[in-house]
Amino acid sequence: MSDLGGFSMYELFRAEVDTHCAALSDGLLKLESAPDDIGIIVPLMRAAHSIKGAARIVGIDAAVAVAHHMEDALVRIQKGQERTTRGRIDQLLEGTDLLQRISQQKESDLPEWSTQNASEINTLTIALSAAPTATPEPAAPVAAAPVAAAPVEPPAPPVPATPVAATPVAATPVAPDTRAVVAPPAAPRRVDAVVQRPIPTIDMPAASAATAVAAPESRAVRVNADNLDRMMQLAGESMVEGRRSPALRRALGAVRGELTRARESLEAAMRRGDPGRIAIARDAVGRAEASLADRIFDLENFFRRTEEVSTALYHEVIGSRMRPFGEGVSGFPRMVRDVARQLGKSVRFDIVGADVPVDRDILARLEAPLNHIIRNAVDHGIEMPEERRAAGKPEQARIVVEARHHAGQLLVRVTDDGKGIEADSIRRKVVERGMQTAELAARLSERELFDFLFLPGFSTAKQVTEISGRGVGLDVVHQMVTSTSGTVRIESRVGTGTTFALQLPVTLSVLRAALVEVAGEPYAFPLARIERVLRVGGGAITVIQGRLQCDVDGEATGLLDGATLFGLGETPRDEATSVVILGDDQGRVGLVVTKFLGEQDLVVRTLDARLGKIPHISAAAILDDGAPALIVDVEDTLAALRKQLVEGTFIGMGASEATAGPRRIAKRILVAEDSITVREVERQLLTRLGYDVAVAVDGMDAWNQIRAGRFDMLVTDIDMPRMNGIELVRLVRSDPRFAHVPIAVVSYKDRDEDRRAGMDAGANAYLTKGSFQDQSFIATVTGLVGTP
Amino acid sequence: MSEDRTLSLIKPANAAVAGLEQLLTRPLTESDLDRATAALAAPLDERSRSRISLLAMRAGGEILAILASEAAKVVPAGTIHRVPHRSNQIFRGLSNHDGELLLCMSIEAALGIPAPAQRERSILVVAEQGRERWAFEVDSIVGVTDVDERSLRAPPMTISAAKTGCARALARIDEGEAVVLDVHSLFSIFRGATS
Repeated sequence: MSDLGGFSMYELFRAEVDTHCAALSDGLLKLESAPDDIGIIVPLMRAAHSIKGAARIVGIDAAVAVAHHMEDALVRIQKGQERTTRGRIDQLLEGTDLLQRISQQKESDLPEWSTQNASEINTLTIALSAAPTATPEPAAPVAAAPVAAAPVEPPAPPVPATPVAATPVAATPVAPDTRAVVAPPAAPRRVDAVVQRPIPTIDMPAASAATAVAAPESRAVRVNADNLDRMMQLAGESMVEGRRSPALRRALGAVRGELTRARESLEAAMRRGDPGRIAIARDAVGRAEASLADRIFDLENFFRRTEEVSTALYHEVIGSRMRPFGEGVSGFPRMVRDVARQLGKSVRFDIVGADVPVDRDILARLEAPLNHIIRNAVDHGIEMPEERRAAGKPEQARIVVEARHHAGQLLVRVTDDGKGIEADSIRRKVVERGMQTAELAARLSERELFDFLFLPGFSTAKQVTEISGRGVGLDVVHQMVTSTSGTVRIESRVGTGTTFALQLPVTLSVLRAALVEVAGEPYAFPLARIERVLRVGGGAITVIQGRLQCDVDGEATGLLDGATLFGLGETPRDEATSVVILGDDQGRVGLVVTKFLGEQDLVVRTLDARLGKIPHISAAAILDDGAPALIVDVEDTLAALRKQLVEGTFIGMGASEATAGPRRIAKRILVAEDSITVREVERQLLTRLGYDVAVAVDGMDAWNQIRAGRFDMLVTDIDMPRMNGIELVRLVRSDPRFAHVPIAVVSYKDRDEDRRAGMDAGANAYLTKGSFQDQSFIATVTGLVGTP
Repeated sequence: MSEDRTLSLIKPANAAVAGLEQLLTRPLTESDLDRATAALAAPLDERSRSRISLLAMRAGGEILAILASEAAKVVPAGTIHRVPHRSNQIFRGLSNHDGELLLCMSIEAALGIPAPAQRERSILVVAEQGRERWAFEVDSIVGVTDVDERSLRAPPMTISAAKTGCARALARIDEGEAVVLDVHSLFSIFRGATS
């Protein structure tokens, strides 16, 4: 296959199919809502025709056949030879899906795939060629009138051997502008799905999300054409500016010569004491100084221009990573429509904030979580129309996906006005399944209870359905959101509806950061992750019981020395001028730094993989002066601070003598658990037995601690942010230094496959959290590590 | 016309000299030019047969060398940022060069030879083998020298048997005896210092 500017023709075909299928899907849904609006059809005909042309170029006959018959059907509708019916719309949408599936195949797999799917392709092309069936259209805006007899073409073979004749829309250019991007969908968008008779199950479940996740990164990346043009202009401008520098250098050299000559003339004239020559020499010096001033002016212009061009280029390059949010959710109106129809529900689906720019990586990762959440909303959240009527709600339910930027974060909220989630039913289930005692379950907050929904297998649905009731979806949501350092939260009111609130970084590439100096070197704190930076005077930091603290809003806040945390010595008390306040819902702590350097947008650089995970550091960046800076992993830092507080090894600046760490007198057990409640239960149980217990708030924290210290045993949860328990167990087992350490997994997951996964990874025991109620947890620990 | 032509011929030569002077951090000497001229004037088969190019440098009071083909680039050392819980005597930290964050190592610490407390002006040598790259600081660059591979001598056992022994051979160059380093072994030490 030939290459074109680095892209294979197949890649170009794939990009074009993506673009046109999005347009087809969107347009067909509009056509369904407004069947008499013939104006909608022309762009659809063009899209089908363009796909046909592109498919012909790359020789994919199956796609040629499908696109051709879709185009013909659309032409018949446009010419009034056929009415728009729901059945036809379904066929056209099926055709769109089929084209998309074809484009997603590996090029080498296509011949075999086409053979395997010939029957499906054949059936669809025959159906598209035939007159539409006059199926009843209960809530359709148009009457289900008998369809006028339309000239029907003979069924096309599944894979036509000869090129299909051109159609009236042949004026559409076939070759794609590879730089062009689909215009962002208008916001808000809306699709009305109405009660309909049962239809066969539509095959677009989690598999599509899984495919999206597993799909290897393509070499082809879409860049907005305007954006690319501007980058090229700026790159050209940058080169032009660069070429000015030799001329400037020469001009400056000439001025230097002029000055030297003038100085020599002046010196000679002064030696001779000749006033006339001195005056001439002074004039020469004056002219040289004027020339120098001109050259300096030129130089300043050159620097200013260079800076402008490079800054603009930088912003364009960064901007090229951003895509409109709507592009990532363009498939959902169709999905909601199909699922709602399948379930006999009526749902209005709105997208708010379709133009909000989102980093392409984030957008790609969002697709699967949103897919699951929206499916769950339609399937479980939204009531049947009769239930809604009885509850005094409009028959047509509403789901809104909203995106916006807030405080440097991307907030995505999926809200439905369905029946909501009963927290008490989750509480009962937690107890029934032995995941917690009734006493502990009663203490769990609504938010903690909703978090159980993210556990695999913890479905509140009474029936498992084809749509979403297997309870696997929300686990995927949780994993994918946390993998981007994001959070997901459920808010729900019974009878009113449910909201899933996702908080994610706007981009993984650029970070607004507070720069501080620690031990003479710059460190960056993501602004979105810190509360504030305080400038503190000499007396603001005090020592209480050997620990540092200062007042923040009248609240005594514990402090830790940044240099100590990073293992770079200790910040002298008299040099500390600032405190970075970190906090979350569990409390607030401060990190003492030498000074605050300012705020800056940083391009995030991944740290070299050879360094592994560096404690308290997430990435690197390059500052304006070209020096490197390290970006602080705030979550990791908070976890480390809390761990030290719990263990009593918290060492403040200048207070180390007063707070020497505990002497190791017992066997040391590391407990890795993200739930503070469960972590405390485990810690207290083991401490009461006499073990020396350290805690880690997630797998990554645990792995850092294991490498930094010596432990006799590891007790770990499975579901944890940043690194889950299975990954942790595998890491520990793969390192010869720790391969002998006994490991007990303690998890809410109680399925056989979960146990197998834990044991296969290398755990010595697998317990459920119900084991705290009996002696099995303690017996297992003592059995593995012995008495304290 | 002839003046333009002369200028266009001289310009690259000037650029090359400037580049070499930047590499060596000193002006080119007559000896440098004579050596380069002689190497260039030698018959092609004599130049290619059994000859290897070495990049020689000074560090820790010694002359060290690596195969020129294993030297990716030589750049002035910029700010080196320590990495918490990772930086040590061998792994000094990260340094930015052309947007690439290089892992900077101390060659002296890696080889167990004395290191200066503070370098007046240091240079980073970026060595490369396959897709693996490491940067290390040196005091100065001696130059790129062609030597006859047959003239290389085995290093003494006291060097080759040492745990930090990365000596591949000894080469006699104009400036003295250079220890030709085995980059593969050197990289192993570097890897051990960062994990």
